[in-house]
Amino acid sequence: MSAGPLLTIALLATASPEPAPSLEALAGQLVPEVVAARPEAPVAVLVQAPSAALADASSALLAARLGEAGLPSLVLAAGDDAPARARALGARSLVSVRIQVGAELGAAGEVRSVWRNFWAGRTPLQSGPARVLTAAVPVDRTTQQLAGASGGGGLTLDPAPLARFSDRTAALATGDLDGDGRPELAVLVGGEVRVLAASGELLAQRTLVELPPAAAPAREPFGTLCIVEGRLLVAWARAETGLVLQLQGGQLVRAGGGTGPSLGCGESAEPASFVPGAARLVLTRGPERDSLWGGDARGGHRLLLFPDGTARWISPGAQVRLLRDVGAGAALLPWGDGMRVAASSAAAAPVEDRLRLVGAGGDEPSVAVPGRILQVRPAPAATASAPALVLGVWTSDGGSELRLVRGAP
Amino acid sequence: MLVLLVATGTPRPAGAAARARDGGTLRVAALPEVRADRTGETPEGAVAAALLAAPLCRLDALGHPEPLLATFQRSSDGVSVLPRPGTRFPSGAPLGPAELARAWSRALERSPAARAALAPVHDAAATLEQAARTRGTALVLQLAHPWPDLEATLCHPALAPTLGDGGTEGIGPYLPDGSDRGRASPGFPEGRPHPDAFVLSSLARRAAQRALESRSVQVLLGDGGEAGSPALFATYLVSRPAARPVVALLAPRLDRAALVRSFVGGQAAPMPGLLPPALGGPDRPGARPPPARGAGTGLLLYVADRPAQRAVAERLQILLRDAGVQLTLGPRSADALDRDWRAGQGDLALRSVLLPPLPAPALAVALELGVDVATADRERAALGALSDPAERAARARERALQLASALPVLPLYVEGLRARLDPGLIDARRDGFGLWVLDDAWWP
Amino acid sequence: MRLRTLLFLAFALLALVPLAVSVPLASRRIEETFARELGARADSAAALANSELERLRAEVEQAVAACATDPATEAVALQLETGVPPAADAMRAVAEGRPLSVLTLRDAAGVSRSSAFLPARVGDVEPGLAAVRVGEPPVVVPVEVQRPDGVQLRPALAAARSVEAAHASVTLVGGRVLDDAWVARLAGLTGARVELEGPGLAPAVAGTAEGRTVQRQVPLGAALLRLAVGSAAVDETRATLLRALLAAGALGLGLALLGGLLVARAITRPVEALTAGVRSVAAGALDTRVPAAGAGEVRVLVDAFNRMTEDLGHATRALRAAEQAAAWEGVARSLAHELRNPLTPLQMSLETLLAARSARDPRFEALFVESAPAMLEEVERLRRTIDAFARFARLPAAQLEPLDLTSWTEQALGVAGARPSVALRWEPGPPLPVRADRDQLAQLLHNLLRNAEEAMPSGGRVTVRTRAEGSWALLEVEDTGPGIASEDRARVLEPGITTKASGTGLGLALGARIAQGHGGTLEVDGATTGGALLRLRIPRAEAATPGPGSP
Repeated sequence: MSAGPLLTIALLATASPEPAPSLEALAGQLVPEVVAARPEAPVAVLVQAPSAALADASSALLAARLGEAGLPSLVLAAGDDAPARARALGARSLVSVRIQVGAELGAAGEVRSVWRNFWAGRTPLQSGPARVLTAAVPVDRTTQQLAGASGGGGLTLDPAPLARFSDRTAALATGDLDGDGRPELAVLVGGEVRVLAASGELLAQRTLVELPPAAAPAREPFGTLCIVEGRLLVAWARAETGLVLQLQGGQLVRAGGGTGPSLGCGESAEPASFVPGAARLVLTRGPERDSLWGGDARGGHRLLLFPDGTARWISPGAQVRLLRDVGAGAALLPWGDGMRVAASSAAAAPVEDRLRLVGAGGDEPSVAVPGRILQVRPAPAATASAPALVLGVWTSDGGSELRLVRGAP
Repeated sequence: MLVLLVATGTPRPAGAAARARDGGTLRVAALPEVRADRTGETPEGAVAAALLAAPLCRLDALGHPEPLLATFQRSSDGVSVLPRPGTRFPSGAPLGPAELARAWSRALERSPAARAALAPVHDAAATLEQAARTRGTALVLQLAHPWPDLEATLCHPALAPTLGDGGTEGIGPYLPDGSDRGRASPGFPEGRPHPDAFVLSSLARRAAQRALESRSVQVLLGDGGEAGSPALFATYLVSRPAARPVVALLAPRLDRAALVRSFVGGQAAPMPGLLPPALGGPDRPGARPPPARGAGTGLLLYVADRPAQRAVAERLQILLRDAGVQLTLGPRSADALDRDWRAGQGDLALRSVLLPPLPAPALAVALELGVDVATADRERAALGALSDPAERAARARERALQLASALPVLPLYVEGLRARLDPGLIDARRDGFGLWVLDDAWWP
Repeated sequence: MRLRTLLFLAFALLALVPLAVSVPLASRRIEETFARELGARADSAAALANSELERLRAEVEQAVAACATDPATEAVALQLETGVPPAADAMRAVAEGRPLSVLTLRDAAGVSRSSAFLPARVGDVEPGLAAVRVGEPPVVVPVEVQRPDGVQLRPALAAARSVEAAHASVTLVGGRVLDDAWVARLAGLTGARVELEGPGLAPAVAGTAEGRTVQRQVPLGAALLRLAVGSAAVDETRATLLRALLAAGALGLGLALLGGLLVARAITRPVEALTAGVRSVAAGALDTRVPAAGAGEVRVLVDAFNRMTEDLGHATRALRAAEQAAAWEGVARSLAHELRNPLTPLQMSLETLLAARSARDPRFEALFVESAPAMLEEVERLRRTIDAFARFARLPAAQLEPLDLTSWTEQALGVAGARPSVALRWEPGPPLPVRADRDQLAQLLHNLLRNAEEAMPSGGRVTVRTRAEGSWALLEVEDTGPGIASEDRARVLEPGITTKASGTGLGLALGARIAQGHGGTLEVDGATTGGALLRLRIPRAEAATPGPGSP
């Protein structure tokens, strides 16, 4: 066993009085299924989980419980070609489980034999027992923390998404549209603008199909949204012109004035224009002429996101900081006493993205988020003491979600 | 000004990006039978054809149409199809109702799926002919009876708008750039595709598999397939009234499971009922009567380019020989088969159609294949009168079971899309027909 | 028959006889040889078919053995065990490049699990192949051959091998269909008509056998192979041979005949020339010469003929000249005699006178007056004799013209009138067309009548008659005088001979000359009554005279 799980278990034991009942319960559901499949001992256990800590903890727990049930087990580290590594370690069966933390703690996997019959000839055949394993238990906080935890720092991902869409989000904005003092969320998704309450409930929506189509539209959903003074400024890369909307009586109606894409909102907004046929912006004014994935402008800071995965953070003192591994979903975030840059990773279409907080110091808390983070905005319910972010995350089924990440400064 | 450069994080390899990367050439390998399917009647052919000629709209997994080249507007008695303004063919001609009408008139001559989709329209042929001559902004389709699923069926690949007599020029994410090549079309309504170009090459099965494994192609059409994808490409044996005795001799000897296992292969599944299992049709055959012997002759038409149809046709020939019937095989091209069958040639024919993913329109296709117009209209009207989708679907399944023995349409098997993608290809998704939509595809 | 025809026929016969003997003999030998050859060909065709089948058996066995150990076959067999069925045509890859047209993998129950050529039967038991068992040599079984226009049963030579797979017993059955192409190839190899048939099998036929056929059969288990060798080619060869033989014979005969014709002509031409020459000489052309040609006896003959004709010509001319000389001799003698006669008295008278005068005889005056008229008479007689001879010498050529002798003689007699002292009797004959000179003929008749009258001074009867004798027309004048003694008959026609007291004796000679000019003769004969018979014989003319002329 590695040090990680021991440490985690110790941590759990000391840090919080509550046990991790969901992991136990999960193991309690999985072990009988494995035993019922009657695999040949010894059994290798491989667990994949959203975080390494969770994976280590659960694989250790599962191995221990299987040993108690009469099946000597060993833990297999994550990696490729698990059957071969299991065979190399001397195991005859493999329990391979993937754990997902969402509304509940779910596990799915299989147990199968990895023993290869020497006499089977040139073509190795699958033989012996195989069984699909599933289990689901309610999730508890400890497990959630384990899932989101990675070396501490205080960013946690809310397990349940705020909203789900069947299309991919193009832009995100928070602000008070209806004048009730509480900020709402505006989302540009699927050729529509939707306004959601802070809880995720849909307040209004409006299609943008009446806008004249751009001559060379961008394929990826791309645009900018700004909520300024109760008006919603919409710029969409598939439309030739922008739109200004107002929320009136539960409806989004067209208001006067025109708009175009911009970097940032409000006074610090820097006008830009879409690059034809691509999900890129070009600043209209200013010295930078390169195309950008986007950026932000807030409180004197400017953030420019470049398509090669780098970003430039220009602080008010004309300090320019070059950031690397910054994806298209990044924003300036007031954090505690200063400004941070919340950045997604520049990994190309990862199954799991990573949101990290870049600040003045070297400490960069991060949290793993399943999917691709394409938009980051301060959450409507965020305060300076309890900062939170809302993320527009593209999922692998072609849709997208809005997820909340909370932090503790 | 102090410029402080601090490098943080780990350097990413060049080419990594969170957004899709533009550029590169999408390399598609197609087996010869896919390459021969120019009009996109098979699922694999439709995937390849959609690169140059996209359908009017795309169905999502639930069967709802997402407009692509046109939007729909329902009125009290019909549906208006409004082509998206600014949509143009590669030659520059705009997509208007006239061009759409002409394309659909051609599709009516060629594709049973198109005929079934436009069957609820009141006098479809005349409407299209009239629309082909006038200039307007919308193609208005008056319905002969209520049919809520019309918009979904208009997303069928057979109704993709094309120009020209050969129906070769369509509006797709790529512009034709030589034979089997295309370059990204900047004006495509959904935006230009991420690759700059695509190349379609025709390879034999083993060579194509090796090419995919060595990653020299990203898409392989014609081999493989996923168990979970919907199987909607149904093959029926249609017969003329005079050939009913022959089919009656065949049915007891027909073991669909063995047929699929030995002769169709791939991801095919037996289809005992008029509707495939994916749409709620039965997946177990009923009891078979004992086989009998008889006599007779017949001509079976099938599409020569499709190896699965050829193997099935030969199997049917052998089975009927055991039953005492001398069956002659008549291989045809896909267009010629439809034309010859409607002209009265042949006694039996193997018809393969991509069914829409909704039970009622799928049943309409089976009706179109086998039954006279009046009966089809009656059945459709009865189904269309039900406005609740679940009720309609249930009723369609029920009718499919009841009509199974009455129609001269013997369901045989149903196939899903035979295609494999390079795992590194990102953002390829499946539409409601089970077809890969490669418009958004890219790779890092 | 002419000599030439005879020779020609002899040649023809000479050429024909050997041919007539040799040609039938040769053709009979040819017939026998070919008949034997037909049987031998049939046997060799059967042997060739058998060896071809043996070769095919070995090929099939080897190919099936190779396929059974092919890794691709093992892969398919192993796949059978996994429960994932192999593709119905998975064996096609194994069959590529192998000389097989049946290749099926079947399991322990005999069910076909994968087939290269009949994938449509996968899942069923292929009935024909069930009879093919592992470890046995290849056998001929009926297999189904599938084509778009239907399924046929065909015989195939098949063998079976078991495939080494992990557990179950899997058999590979492979073979070759004996299809139309194979039968056609066999027909081409053997040159026979090949039929392959059996119960329920689709028959295959190739090749032709025309004419009389000889058959052999090769049983093949489920099928029967029949080979038929036809004599058509042989017949044709034989016919050609015979035709050639006949043509050669006919050619030979023709050449022989031609040659015979030419040789006969060459031989007979001098003979015919000789014959023609003889005829022409007989007709009177004495200067005919036959050109000297040929050699040998014919040449000798021709030379002799030419010499003889020449001699004949000389002799004829000599004779004629002698005749002429004799004739003139006679005439000259006669003239001399006639002239001498009066000259002698004349001379004597004159001498007497002269002597009297010289002697001054007183009787001179009376003597002169007495002698002078006798001397004048003698001179008159001399003048008459000379006139007659002149007339004889002055006889012109006959101007022949066609006339009827009988009717002319009748007219001429009428003109001649009655004679005072003789009775004239006319015995006419048939019409006698002749060619004659009227004047000369008249003169002749006149002479004959006068002679006859002068021969009967005391009266008598003269009979004139005309008659035909063969190709001669005769005119006879007969009298009842004393006749002419037979020893005188020949000399009477000579000029100068007369038995009469007066006359010149030229009359009959003139008549003979006239007759000669008419191409005839004057004959002197004795009548039955004792008198003289003078006959004019002239040739008859072919055509009838247009009408009697007037004398």
